[in-house]
Amino acid sequence: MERISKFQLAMMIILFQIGSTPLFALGGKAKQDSWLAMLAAAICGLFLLLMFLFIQRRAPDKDLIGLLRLCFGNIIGNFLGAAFVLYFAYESMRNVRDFGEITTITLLTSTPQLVIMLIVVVLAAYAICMGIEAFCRVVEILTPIVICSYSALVILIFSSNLVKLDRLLPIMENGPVPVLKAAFPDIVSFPFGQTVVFFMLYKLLYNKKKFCRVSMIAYSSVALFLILMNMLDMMVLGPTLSGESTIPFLQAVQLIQVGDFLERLDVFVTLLLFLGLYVKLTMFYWASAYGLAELLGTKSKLPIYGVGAVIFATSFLEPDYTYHVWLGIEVSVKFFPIFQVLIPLMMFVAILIRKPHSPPPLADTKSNNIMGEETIG
Amino acid sequence: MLIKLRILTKSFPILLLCTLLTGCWDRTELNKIGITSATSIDWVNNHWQVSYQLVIPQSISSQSAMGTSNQQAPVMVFSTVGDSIQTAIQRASLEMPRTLFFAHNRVMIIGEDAARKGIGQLIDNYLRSATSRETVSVLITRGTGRKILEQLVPMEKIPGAAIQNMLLNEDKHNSDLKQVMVYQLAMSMSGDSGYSTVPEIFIAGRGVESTNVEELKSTKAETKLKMGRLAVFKKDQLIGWLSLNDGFGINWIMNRIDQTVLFFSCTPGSKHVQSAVHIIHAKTRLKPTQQNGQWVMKADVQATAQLIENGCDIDPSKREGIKALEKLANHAVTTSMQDALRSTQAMKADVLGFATSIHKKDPKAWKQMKENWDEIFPQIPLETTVNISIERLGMSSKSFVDILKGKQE
Repeated sequence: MERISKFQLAMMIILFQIGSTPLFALGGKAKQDSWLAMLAAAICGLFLLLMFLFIQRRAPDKDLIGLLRLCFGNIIGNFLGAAFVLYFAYESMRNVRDFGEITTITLLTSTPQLVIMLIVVVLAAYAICMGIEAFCRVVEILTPIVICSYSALVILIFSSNLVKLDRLLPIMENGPVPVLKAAFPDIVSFPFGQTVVFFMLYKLLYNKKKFCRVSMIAYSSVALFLILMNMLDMMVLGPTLSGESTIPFLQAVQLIQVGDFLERLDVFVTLLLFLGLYVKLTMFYWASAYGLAELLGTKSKLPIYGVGAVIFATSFLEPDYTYHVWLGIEVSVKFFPIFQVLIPLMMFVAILIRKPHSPPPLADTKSNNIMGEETIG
Repeated sequence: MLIKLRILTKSFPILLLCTLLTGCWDRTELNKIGITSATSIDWVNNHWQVSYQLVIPQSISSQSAMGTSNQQAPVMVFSTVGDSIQTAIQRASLEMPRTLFFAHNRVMIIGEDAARKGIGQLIDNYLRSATSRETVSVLITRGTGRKILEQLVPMEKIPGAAIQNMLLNEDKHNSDLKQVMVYQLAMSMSGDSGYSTVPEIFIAGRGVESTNVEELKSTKAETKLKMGRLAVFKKDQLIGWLSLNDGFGINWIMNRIDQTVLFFSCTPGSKHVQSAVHIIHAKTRLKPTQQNGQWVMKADVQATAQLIENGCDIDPSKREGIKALEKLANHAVTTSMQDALRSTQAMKADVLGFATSIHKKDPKAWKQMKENWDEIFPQIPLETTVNISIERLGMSSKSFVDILKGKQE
């Protein structure tokens, strides 16, 4: 049985949530109020996380599949579990495609996307084969690098005098409706609602004391960071440019000119993008493969290769970038809430109803037994 | 056997990645690219004509810096024509041994015809491309942009870089004209009023244009590059010109003054300039207010200055003297701001950012005014309060002219 520490969990939440988020203009529909939309979505995401944590606390030794079985019985549980496996694979596939598209747009214009995506999928598969522990250690190492690079870029943006606070004005000129429209369900489902994937991770914690608090602190700080990054894009580029730009943060960084030599730092952004996307796609990939293994009751590594192959293959299904974005923004957000909100909500209700039958300590011992069997088997 | 299999499965990804990560598809050889230091765009016979100023590496390397009599020109200029900008750029491969590389492009010169036609497409090119930068400075010229690229600049090897440095020098030390970069232009064009300004560059002087290295051997140049007026754009189209003085006033209104020299006469209203102060730090707060249903812009200027020239009959070492000089300086700034306002209002072109500040202050009122803003803008008065404090007098106090007069008496 693999184990991870709470610190690793916190780092994982931070890097996973950062992912590729600071690079995109989330809530562009709300123009200069996009940061308010982010804020609204982040608060909503916080409540979602609270709900997830509440569910998890009832049965700390179960992962998502186990929880689904616990809540809805084996048959429905397995069915929903399979749906989640597909959902995770789909999310991972989207990140793989993002990775391919963005590399092609920014750095390697003539390299075939196949190669770029193959590299990243092989890397992810490799990390997962090494086990989630190894992957968590990777994240532990990467997080400080990512944080330092972002801070360096932010400092440089400020020191090249690009930030104009008044670009955030006027606040809510069309009332709160556009803000809320931008926030729900789009920003909730990407990135804040994606914390649902951590259902797969919690049971691996060494020490389950205070894991709720750790998750909340990590989540809140990263949400704050994302909102500030969104504000920064807006303050540098203004609503029109930042809304129309594919990667506003890259655009903002391209404008840095400090002392005639600190210019053209695009490559930092691209590296940050790679790190973030890699962590995100690997996490989803792992969740999907791990969930599949559990559904099938196998310990072999075949699900890893299988899921990897599926992710790699499906990432070619979308014909172009516009379709990719359209699918992400128009279609996916319609069904993401099923996994991020609806099913967890049903689990929440189910677990509340089941409370008298299996109070937490009992559930613990029971699940321990199950887990014990699993480890033996 | 099992161990061997594991080694095999583990080494497989490593081998695969090693071969793929060489990244041979996007390799760029330094000696296969032609670095452009400036580009220009013209609209000739209903086609875009794009001109490039290519740096010739061997002639700017330090070995040849001393120069021999048959020195090669540091840059070469050529043009391509096409229906769209990218078509034109693509045609460059018909006549160039190297692929064009735009990441070091410093300035973009737009010919007047192209500017009147509209440069939206050009800006789209910049925003879309990952290699060309949005920090490129934009300049407008009366004739064709190509002429500007052909001009050599004494003291600097690469004319493109020289033009940008010229602009930065003006931006930093004089503030009549401000550098406008592509992203700033894109922002102001898509802003609330949709009007923006771009500095002009032109070839001053008559005679042979310095397109030959031989020209640089003389101590005087018959022609040189110079910056002039301010081009006014409505959305992406050139609609008119403002003078350099208007530019100065506009920069005061828009809080874009860094350092500058402010000239003033000894009596308010007179055009006879006799004294000057060096503005060290300036800040303008522009505030829209509503008075009896009429919008009024209030500009509050705070600046600190140092006296650098005193031709007036005023003794600045006395407190009243300083006050009098400050008053004259205040008056000069007020006049230049009001002049600029009159010129822009005559053009009905809100390059001053009034629209944006009203939008920010009162979004609801802005929604009603938005449609006929071009009609409302000329009616808006500007109330100014200027407060320049002359903090230092330099190394001398009384005007030397005054001292001489005293001697005579």
